[in-house]
Amino acid sequence: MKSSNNIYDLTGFSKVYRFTMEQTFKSPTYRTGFIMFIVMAFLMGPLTMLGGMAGMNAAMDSDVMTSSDKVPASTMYVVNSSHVDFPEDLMNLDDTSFSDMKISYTEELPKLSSTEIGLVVSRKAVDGEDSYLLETVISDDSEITPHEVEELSSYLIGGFNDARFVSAGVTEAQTQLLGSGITTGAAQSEEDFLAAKDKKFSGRQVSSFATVYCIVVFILATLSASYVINTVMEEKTSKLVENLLVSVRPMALLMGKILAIMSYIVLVLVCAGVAALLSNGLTKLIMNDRMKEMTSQFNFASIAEMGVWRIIVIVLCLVLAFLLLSILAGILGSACTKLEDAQSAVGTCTAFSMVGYFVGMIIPSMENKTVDIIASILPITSPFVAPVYAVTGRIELWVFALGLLILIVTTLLLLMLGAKVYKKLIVNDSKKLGFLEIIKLSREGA
Amino acid sequence: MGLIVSDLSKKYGDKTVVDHISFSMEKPGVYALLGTNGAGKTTSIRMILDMLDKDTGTVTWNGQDLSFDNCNIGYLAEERGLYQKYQLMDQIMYFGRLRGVDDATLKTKIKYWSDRLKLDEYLYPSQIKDARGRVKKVKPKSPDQLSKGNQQKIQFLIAMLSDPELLVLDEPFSGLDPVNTDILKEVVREQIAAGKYIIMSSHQMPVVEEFCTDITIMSRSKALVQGNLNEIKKSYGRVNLSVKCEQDISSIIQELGIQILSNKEFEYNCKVSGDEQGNALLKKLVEMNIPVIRFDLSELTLHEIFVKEVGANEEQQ
Repeated sequence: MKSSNNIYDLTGFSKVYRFTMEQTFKSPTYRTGFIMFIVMAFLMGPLTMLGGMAGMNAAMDSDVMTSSDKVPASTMYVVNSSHVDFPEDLMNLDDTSFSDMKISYTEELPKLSSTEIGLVVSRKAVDGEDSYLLETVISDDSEITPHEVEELSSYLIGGFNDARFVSAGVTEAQTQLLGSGITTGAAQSEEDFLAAKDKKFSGRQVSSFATVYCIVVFILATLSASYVINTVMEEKTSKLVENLLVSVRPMALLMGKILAIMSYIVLVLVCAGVAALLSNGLTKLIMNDRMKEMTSQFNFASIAEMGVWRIIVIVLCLVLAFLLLSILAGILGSACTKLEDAQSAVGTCTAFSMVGYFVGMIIPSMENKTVDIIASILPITSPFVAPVYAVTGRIELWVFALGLLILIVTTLLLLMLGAKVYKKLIVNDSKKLGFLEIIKLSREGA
Repeated sequence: MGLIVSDLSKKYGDKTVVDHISFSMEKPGVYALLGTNGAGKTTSIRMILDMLDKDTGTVTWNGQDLSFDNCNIGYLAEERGLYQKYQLMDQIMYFGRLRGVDDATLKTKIKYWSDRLKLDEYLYPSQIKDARGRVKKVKPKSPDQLSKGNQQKIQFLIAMLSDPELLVLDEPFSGLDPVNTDILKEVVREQIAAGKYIIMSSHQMPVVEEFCTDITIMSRSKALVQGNLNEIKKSYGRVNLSVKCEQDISSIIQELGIQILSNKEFEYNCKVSGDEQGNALLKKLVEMNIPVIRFDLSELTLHEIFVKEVGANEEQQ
């Protein structure tokens, strides 16, 4: 029967694609969504920075020595019997909450008023070894809290250290060298440490990556399924499809829509990524060094650091996941006869995505190789699991290749099923058909 | 060679919706598919246009399986639909592009059909003057602001965009007011004169009689009556008699065993068994020197044929 029975013929696909894209961008809903997404991506960096600055300021405010609130200390009497000269300039109190406090050196500690502090510097033997002791004293009715005084004495240790090196005849440069800090890394597990050493991803890193990736796939899948079902249903219930089918074949009609909405979503993501990168760059330009360190965790350039093959794997799997669920959505949409049926069709597609989403989120923490392999090759879970495991090296290449092959074959089979049943379903006015009935229908031949 | 529909059948489960329908259009003209609601007309049309799979049968156009690849098809579906949220012009352009018409030709065609079908105000922006005399541009209406009749005209415009050689019109005149019906009739007449093949499904028998040369009357999925309309009518004989005289002739009519259907001021509508009975009445009136104002012995109307055949079939079932 010549081309009339060529159910896979995609002639006219580009016209459907173009029209769907144009109308998507003309739709106020989708246009607003597009702009909102980009604005959010652009503002995410600065908002996070502002949040971080607020947190940092709050932390600084809670530090007694750096707080903007002055401690009500009028005078500090220094009684120094340590033979180490401890001058006021080495105390470095100028930029602290004690900057208004006067320093007075005395032989004996006087009776202290409620705003006065006593600092007694002495030399004592601790555990048989010579040592220095810095003691702070306040009056019983003092307006200065014990915590504030403790903070002050801890702070003065630094200055006193410098003072005793100077007294011992150490040069300024030597003092700086002796006083330079020793940095410790953040506490980490042995697994993370070894993974970093071997340049591999730890379980925690895989879990974090899986969480982000699964959310992206889930949002993509749910959005596209909902869009495809609604447009298919609109054409079916309004009988528009009858006018379309005298010019274009069902498969071209379905694929034109699916790829148009995929382009829309990809465009949104790309624009949002560019906006985020731009925003990140601008934010870095205007922020100070301390803030730069803090916001480095929002560096979108890390995507590029993943390497080309990893990006290809992720994009390929994203596209396959999108196609798989969108074709399913198209078939389910065409099986509906009333607009109310569309809700249940969207629900079915969401349920399919949910399975993949939860499996993708949960199994990285299980650390079970068999479960990893099964989840990486099952077509319902592999779009969520396999790319994460592949780029983090958690599964071997053959497992990923097998999973990818099964996913491609499943997508093609679903496409063939769609081609067979879409034409039958799209002009079907009777009751809504279930999935098993759709399968049965496909066996009746195209 | 034209269009040949051969042995079309369709079943949904155990229910047969089209039962071995065949017909052909060897030359341009209008072929009517008639039938009660649910008789299988729309399903037949969908199978002819390859929207629905056929259980049996073939549809050929000039010797090849009919498809939009080898035949320029225009289709006006029974249930009219437009994208409610998209601009009309966008949709029309889309349908035109799908039919392979280039944008420049499309714009010319749309303008032509918009003028013919009186759709300008729905497709093109217009200008009005407000209370202060300022000229304001008014956007064309959106599909959800159009009446059913105007939506139907838009769909007819879409069907005509590619200048189709085969035009399938499913209930083209339903829902149209008399003015728009006349506009559409005029266009159909032009298409017939231009040598187009037209398949028309309709419940409006006078319209079908006006345009169609060949018909199929369907009932409960089967073709009951089929063929050339004039020959079908001839086969039923001339049985409708309309007589008008200047005096009461009811007793003469009844004497001859003729059934009077209605009688209003010496104007009789009667049912005769054929030409013989009708002529006998005329002969008698002449013999009796009764002045006859009108004597019209005619064939059954399509409406009568339809009711007679479908009614009998329904009774049998």
